[in-house]
Amino acid sequence: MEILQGLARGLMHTFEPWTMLMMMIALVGGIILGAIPGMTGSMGIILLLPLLYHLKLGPALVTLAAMFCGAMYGGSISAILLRTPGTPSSAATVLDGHPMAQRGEAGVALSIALIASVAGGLFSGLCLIFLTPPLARFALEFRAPEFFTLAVFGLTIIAGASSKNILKGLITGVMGVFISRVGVDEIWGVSRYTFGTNFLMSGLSLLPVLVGLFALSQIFYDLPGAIRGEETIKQNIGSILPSRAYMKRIAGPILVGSVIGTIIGIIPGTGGAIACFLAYDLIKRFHKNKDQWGTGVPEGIAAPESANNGTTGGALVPMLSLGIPGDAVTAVMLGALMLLGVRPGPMLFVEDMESIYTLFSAFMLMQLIILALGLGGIKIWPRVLDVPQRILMPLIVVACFLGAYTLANNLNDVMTALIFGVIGYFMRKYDYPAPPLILGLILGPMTEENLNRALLVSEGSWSFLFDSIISTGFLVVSVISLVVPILTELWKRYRSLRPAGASR
Amino acid sequence: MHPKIDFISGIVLMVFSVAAHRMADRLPPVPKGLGPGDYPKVIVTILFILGLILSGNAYYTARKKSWEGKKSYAKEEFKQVFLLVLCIAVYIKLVGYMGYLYLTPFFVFAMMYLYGLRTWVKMGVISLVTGVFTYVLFNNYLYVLLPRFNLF
Repeated sequence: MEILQGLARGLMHTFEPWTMLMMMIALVGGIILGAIPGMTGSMGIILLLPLLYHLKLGPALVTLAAMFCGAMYGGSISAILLRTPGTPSSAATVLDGHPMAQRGEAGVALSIALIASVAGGLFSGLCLIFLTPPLARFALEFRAPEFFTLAVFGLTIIAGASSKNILKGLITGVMGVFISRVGVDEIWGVSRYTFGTNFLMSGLSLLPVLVGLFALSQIFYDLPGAIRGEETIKQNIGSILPSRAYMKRIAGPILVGSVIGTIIGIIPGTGGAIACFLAYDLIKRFHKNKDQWGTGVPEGIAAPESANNGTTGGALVPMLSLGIPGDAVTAVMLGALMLLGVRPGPMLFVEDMESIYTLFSAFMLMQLIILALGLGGIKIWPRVLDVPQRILMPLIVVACFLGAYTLANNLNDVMTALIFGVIGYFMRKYDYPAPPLILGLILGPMTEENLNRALLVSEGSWSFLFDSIISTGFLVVSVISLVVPILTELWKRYRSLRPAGASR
Repeated sequence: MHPKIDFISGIVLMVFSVAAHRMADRLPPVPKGLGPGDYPKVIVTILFILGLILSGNAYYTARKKSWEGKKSYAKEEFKQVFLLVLCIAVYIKLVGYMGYLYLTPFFVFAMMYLYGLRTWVKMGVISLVTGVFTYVLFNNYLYVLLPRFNLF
């Protein structure tokens, strides 16, 4: 009952003109950015930052979530029409979405993606509403040892978040922790690694690092392709609504995809890219005509699209209740909220529950708006793909400048963003994932401060790690989440090195 | 895989870790709890180990395959990126003197040129509109004081 009343109040806040306007801007912007290959929800959030500074927490949360959901849906547009996923989360949609478009059913494929996205979003929204408050209440019991082990757990998910190269993921993650420790030590007031400069006394701000790693590095990376003016063949939209037979076929995959996506989203360190392939693979495995997959079956669009949108609400659960990001986009979102002076976590539910309810209500409402925007603009959104990158990219560079500058009206922050843009460019070139660095930057202070506090209380004894079942539990899960991906990777290498037939 | 780059990166990481460890060593000790240098020392020790594994792994791969690995970029691509970075760096350095309103149109124009656009009128209009629109939006509505002309 309390939840329903809260949701009703949240809905009223959502309908306030400023909140609605920001939500619409973020949704439309998210769909556009998501549709452009290479642009992601993370970049969208960074581009929104100058506007976020002027918002209260409720509208800011709604704006961030709208960008996240909009970009997630937008990614399917280019996946279906261009065979290039707009975001990594739409990679599996390409497999059946594009063949369907080539068959002259681009409009139907886009509609299926839209329906599945909205269904996945609604399902994950319900989980967000009903799972987050109890989890936050549970987390209110946490003291320094629990927060320390929780942060350690957050850091160990780096291994899972960097599935392409665990070693490099760990390096960037640990480097993120190191960078977060530059500046004056919070407890003893001693300067560390500042080299006598005033600029580094308060540490490196998160925002310029985010702008550099996620936005500028992408621009540098895409530059050669944009200069070449790579052309792509687009499809005719054709009819829009899927037939009743198609609707019957996609109902099951949508449900399964939504559940998978939400669960994957809740697990920190995962994300839409994993969820979409998992859902695609699972539905395919149990499908009676497996050999038709890859030729444009509607289930092959419905399953991944519902799964990747399912991760949106799921990923917000640990971010809001524990302050641990569920995926790369929520890591950037967490950083953006910290810039507004808000630290997501259990205390947020005590201090500003109204803003949380506003987010919950708006999250459900924005799914319906995506449905309306998607159906209404099914012939318009693909035109986004006509905007030449040669014009778009310079405008994004200006937006990056403004985003980094508005933090403190300081050009040093913009230069920091540029430096991290170059670092991010080389990281991309040499397969060093960027999200672990952000995780390290966010969780680094949390680990040191809570470890120090716990050690001071326990008078230097490390037994605090095993004094409560929660901290012991987090430690065990940390070890598992660190060791399992490493062992899996080693096993894969062993299998690939072993000559064929050696097992016999 | 980029064995050569990975090998060098691992070495650089180890050197960096040793230097950072020595700097942390110079920080004052404390009677109770973690001192200001203790936590960074743990972090850089982990970094050193990871650097060692990276170099070792790269060396092992190179011996089995080759040192070069896959080619990451052509020289031309690198030159283009360098020019863009230079363009942005010069803009950041100059904008404090020339002012956002006056310099941004030229900056946007230069970037579009760098991206290969050659439709002069279109480029001029977009550059001007971008500079003026963002200046008015941020200065007058979002109350962000953008850099002003400060040369004289």
